[in-house]
Amino acid sequence: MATRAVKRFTTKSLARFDGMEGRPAYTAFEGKVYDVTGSNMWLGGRHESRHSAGEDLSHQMVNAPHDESVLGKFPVVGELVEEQMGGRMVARLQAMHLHPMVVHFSEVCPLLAALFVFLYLFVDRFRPYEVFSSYLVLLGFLSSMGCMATGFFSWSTTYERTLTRIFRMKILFSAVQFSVMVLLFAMRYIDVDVLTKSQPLSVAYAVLMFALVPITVILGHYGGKIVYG
Amino acid sequence: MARTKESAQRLAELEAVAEILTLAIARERATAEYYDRALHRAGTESTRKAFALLLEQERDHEKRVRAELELLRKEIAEVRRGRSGSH
Repeated sequence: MATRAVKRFTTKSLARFDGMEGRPAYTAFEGKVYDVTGSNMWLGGRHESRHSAGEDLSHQMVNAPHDESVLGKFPVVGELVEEQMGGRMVARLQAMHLHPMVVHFSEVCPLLAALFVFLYLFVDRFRPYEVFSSYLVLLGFLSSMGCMATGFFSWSTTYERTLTRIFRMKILFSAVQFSVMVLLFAMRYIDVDVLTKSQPLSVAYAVLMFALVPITVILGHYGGKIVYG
Repeated sequence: MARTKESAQRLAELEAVAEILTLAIARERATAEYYDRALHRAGTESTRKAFALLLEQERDHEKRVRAELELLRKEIAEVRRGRSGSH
């Protein structure tokens, strides 16, 4: 006698069986997937106006007025398995909150770099201020790459790549901030005295450096809007 | 001309609401994950019950907001089609 293969569901694939718009209604309990389609208790994929089909209800039984034996009358259509490697990896990375962790570096470094150029130009022509600023630009440029990568990951997984105004602004200003830092780094790399010698490029360097302040503030503002509304 | 301006305004309004709902979904999901982690750490039956209830509510919120967003997206698509048809 041939053995019927057990159908495997992940949380994601189970969600498609929500009992709405004519779709079958499945529910999972402790690793088993039950077909509750057609049950009067699961009309339209809803149970007691509290539970929805297409979900793992293992943890909800504790609040139910009945025990799990009621599921015994429904056919088992498969088993609920863990997400594939890729899905588990994504979930793990999401739980690490990479973007909020990295974003502070690309916020602080450009602001401090501008501050040290300001100190160098207007307070004290102390060369280490200028040197320190150039290192901050380098650090800002490197962290900005990490920030864009983690931002893209966060946008893809948490916000499902929905391109609304806030995200458009974040992408635009991230690109501008990154480009300005690349330019600053290149200018300083080509000529280490780009700021210390009085030349037209010094003005451009300083202007670009100070432009990082509003760009970074705007980026921070939109980041705050995403998190805090 | 007035109709085009009107539909552009309507589109901007709908997109602003879609943005609010998109961000709300992420928050509902984050809160659900928070309660889910708490549920797994809960040591007593009563705390498990409480976190299970809260988790269920958050999942339900996400589902409702998602349904609203779907409707909104359909409306946005319709307004866009209307705009491209009027050109």
